[in-house]
Amino acid sequence: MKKAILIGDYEIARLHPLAGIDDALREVFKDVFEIYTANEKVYPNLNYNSLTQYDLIIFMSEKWSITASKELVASLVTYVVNGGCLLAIHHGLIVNNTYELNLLFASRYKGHAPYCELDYLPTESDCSLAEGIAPITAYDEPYMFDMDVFKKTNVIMEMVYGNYKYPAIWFHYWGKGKVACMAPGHSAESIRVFAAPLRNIGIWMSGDK
Amino acid sequence: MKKRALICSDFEPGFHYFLNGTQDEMVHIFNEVFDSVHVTDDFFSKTIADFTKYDCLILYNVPLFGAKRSDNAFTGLIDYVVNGGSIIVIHIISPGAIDEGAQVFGGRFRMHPPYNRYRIEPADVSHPILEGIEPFEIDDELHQLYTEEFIEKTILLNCVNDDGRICARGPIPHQDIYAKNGGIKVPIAWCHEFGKGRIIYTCPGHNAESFKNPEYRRFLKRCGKWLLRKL
Repeated sequence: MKKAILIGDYEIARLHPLAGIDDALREVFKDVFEIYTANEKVYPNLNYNSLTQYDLIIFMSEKWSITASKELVASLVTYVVNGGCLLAIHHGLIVNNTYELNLLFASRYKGHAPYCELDYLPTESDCSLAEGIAPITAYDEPYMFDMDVFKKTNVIMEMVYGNYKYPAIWFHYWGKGKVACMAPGHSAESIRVFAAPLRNIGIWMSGDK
Repeated sequence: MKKRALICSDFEPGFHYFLNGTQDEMVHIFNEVFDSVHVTDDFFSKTIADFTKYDCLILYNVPLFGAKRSDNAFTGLIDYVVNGGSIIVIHIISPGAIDEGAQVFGGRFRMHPPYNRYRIEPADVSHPILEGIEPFEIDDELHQLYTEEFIEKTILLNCVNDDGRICARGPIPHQDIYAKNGGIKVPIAWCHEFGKGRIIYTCPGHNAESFKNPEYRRFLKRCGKWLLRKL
């Protein structure tokens, strides 16, 4: 089975500790990726060579504003541009202190309104990642982003908030690599609710689709 | 350790013809900064292993014309700069033809008014590249770009249209906004970091005459020193 490394914070996380989310991701990616974790004591020391031991990086650092380093940013970009797969979920998308990752994600976090019940709708995308995706109603934080003006991305689900729709799940190639971003994912329960699109992303990233 | 620079260009005549004097001027300028300046018209054969032999890459004209995001030369370019390499792109922002290149290098070509004389001023910012650089006029093409908003770049030079000479209404939408509209500053050179590396884009450089401009030569040399971490 292919290997994934989940990067995130346990003890120093204020709002999104990975405890529980890690097990939810293991359930979702069962039979596709074996998930290892790198907590806040481990992931700041990861480098390109250590990252290439994995087929997928799941990025969910909450304290990126204090754990980020130029070395790790360079390693992540090098990993992706040379063919690695990177999945950023929810708070992992808040990387405005390292614009290099904003470029990889093709987005820049703007903020969010309070946690609430939200509707997520599949787009009319005909790509295989959109197959079998049904509308989802979930409690989550309505994250909003500026989307990059240059990088063409594929939005497969949108969040409805007020009278507007906002990108919620999108994916693209970046260099030789693959990147996917999912704005919801505040809790383990939310991860499980979004199992269908997450699993499609995982299958695409594993190279089987 | 000897400092080496590699100019990546193309040698096709008729379009910013590199061999018609431009090469000599550029090599002469950067020879005053680097111990050796090398030239290639074969960007596509290069990989990260080739790029890392150089302390600086100088991209001129369209060496990346037709490149795809997954080409080894292109991914090698990103790998090189994010891991500490230095790149200066002169005149045509050729990496901008690829989405990732437009993101990393900060822009994509949009249009340019006709070749003309333009007034260039250093931006009102404290930056070592700009020390001692005075305003100057230059005959060139004023390339206007779509720009990446996510990166934090430092504007180094502006074209200042304070005399209404830039151009009249042109055939391309938006071209007319630069006509007789005194005081508009068009950013034409900037620098930023990408990972551990450094990037500069600078617009002037349409032909050999651009590189003969004394103030612009001084600016380019200081760019080279900054890229070498000597400023």
